[in-house]
Amino acid sequence: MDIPNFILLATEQAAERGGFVGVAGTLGLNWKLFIGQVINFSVILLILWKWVFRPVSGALENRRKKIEDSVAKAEIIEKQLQETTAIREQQLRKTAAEAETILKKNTEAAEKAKAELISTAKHESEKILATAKITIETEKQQMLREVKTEITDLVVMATEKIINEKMDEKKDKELIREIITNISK
Amino acid sequence: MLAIPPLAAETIFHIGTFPVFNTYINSSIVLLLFLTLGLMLRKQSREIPGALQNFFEAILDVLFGYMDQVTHDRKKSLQFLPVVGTLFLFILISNWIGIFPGVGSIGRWLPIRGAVELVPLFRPANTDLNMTLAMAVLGVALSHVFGIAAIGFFKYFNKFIKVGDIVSGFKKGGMNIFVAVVEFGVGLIEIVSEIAKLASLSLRLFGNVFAGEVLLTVIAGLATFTAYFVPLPFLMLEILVGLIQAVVFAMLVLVFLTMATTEVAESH
Repeated sequence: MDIPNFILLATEQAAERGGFVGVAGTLGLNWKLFIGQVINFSVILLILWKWVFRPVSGALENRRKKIEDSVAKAEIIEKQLQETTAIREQQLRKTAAEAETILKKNTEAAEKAKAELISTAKHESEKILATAKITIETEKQQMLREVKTEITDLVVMATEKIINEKMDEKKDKELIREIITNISK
Repeated sequence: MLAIPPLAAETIFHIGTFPVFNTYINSSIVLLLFLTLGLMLRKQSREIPGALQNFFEAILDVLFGYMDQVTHDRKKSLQFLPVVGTLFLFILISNWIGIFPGVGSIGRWLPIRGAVELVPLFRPANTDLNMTLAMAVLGVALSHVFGIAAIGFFKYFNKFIKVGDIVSGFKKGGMNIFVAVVEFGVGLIEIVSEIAKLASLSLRLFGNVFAGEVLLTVIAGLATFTAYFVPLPFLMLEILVGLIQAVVFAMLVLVFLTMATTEVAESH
């Protein structure tokens, strides 16, 4: 079969089935089939769009976003952790230094207080000792004085008793005076 | 001996007055395949993927990688993925189905051109210009829809009928009027190029797949012994061609989509 005849036949056939005539008909273009294929492809497009591509790419994208967010969050957390550690260390160092100064201060204050206490106690004891000495001295003097008077009285009484009968008033008085002066000497 | 398939798809039977063509049967089979896939994936939980979803995510990841190279924008890739991905998967699967045993060999004996011939029941969907033209028309039409949605109707309209350029040219005066008139002519050529897009897209795919089909038939029918092992490398070649043509078609539509959604730099 020669080619022009073949084309002619094909064209006639196409025209019979509601297709085009001429080159388009030879190539098999046909309105009914074209519309059928458009519908078929549109249905496939819709199915894949609604049930496959949108959900799956959505899931992919969501997961990607989630991972991105997680990584970003992890970075933030890492940074925060580092900051917190740094702050904590700094604070620890600060606290230790403070504790040391407070301890030093306290020790100093305690020592000072101790020294003060000791000095006050010494002072007090000295004072007490001095007062005691004075009291003892005065008491001793007083006692001596009392003893003297007592002795004088005794001597007077004894002497009176002894001398009473042998002496007159005059002599008596003279003698007493003499004795007293002697004693007070 | 098998007959070389004619350019036009053949009617197998009629449902009422509507003729059922063998390529239409094939595209319907692919439709059923995708329907099953869609129903299976629809029920899956999304956050933690199942085996099927995992498999699909792997495919999508590869697709996204290539798409990002064209769009330079993940948002646009996400937006165009359903169209480009469907084109790619549909063309790929229907091309590869053409290599299945039985496609082209199982048929009905029908009277054609005065003689009784074996008319194959299944014929690869893309060996039908109606199918490839349907996809090209839908792809290009969707690129226009996306373009209008992305940059607004008037701006998009101005890409083809450059009324805006004429108005601004007359406002500026002088040489600008002449430039605007030339730009207007360029816009009209753009309309022609849209039709050329349809022709090149549909004829390229149709030609390649149909030629492959013819090639396989010729190789198988050269001599008695060539029907056994000789077609093997050619079958492998067809697997490759099926993939390449799917990639080419999808990529071209992606380029059209990207161009349509990109605003034209203001001409001075």
